[in-house]
Amino acid sequence: MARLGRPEPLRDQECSGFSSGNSALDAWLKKSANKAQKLNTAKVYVVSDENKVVGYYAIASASIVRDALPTKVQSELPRHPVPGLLLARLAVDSNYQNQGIGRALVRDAVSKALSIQQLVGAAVLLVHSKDEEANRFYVSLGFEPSPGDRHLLCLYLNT
Amino acid sequence: MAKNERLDLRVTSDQKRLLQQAANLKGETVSDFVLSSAMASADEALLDQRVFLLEPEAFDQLVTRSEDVVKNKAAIDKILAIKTPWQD
Repeated sequence: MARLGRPEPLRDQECSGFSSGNSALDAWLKKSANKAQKLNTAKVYVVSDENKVVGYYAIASASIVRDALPTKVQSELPRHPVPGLLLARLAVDSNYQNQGIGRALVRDAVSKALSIQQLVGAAVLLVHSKDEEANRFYVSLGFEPSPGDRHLLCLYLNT
Repeated sequence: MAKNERLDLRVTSDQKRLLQQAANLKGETVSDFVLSSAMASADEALLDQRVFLLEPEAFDQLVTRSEDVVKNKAAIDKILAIKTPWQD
């Protein structure tokens, strides 16, 4: 197994060769991740072998909103949105898959989510899974499909 | 997965010519070119979503579920026990 550094914020690590098999996730790391990091629209953490990025994830704030129809508003009390965090993207380079790096990145994201929760409050860590394989991965780790949207996966943070 | 659904598009002749040229350059049919480009955009749009709307009933179920702290702690502890391939 490669000698990996622990996840660190994206700075100037080498991303150009990153290839996870998902072109949207690869392109985002190469073209948009630095911008997101600077504009604070998301924070990006990478795990590197030497200085070469072999896995990454992005985490951001998110919210779940009760989509009530206006006609129902009179009869029901308004509910505040549920504050959450979003594990927006996570990918591992093809040459490094099946070594537990993805799972370990989720663990790192969860421990960061718990720290963030202590500081600002957050009830849930969300993942919007794009396909069945991603769905199975997160469910196997303990995420639960949200009521009403089985591709929106939840890890509830209140303990 | 079997392609059982159809998507019909109306385009201007300029748009069609441009799509045809681009598809030719990549050695793809117009159909394949349009579909792969649109799928990439759809991926991006979904990945950028930050606000998730749930129907009132589903939202209320989620709030109730989020209050089960025993279940929450068990799921979190399981994830925090994952071994990392780097030094912690």
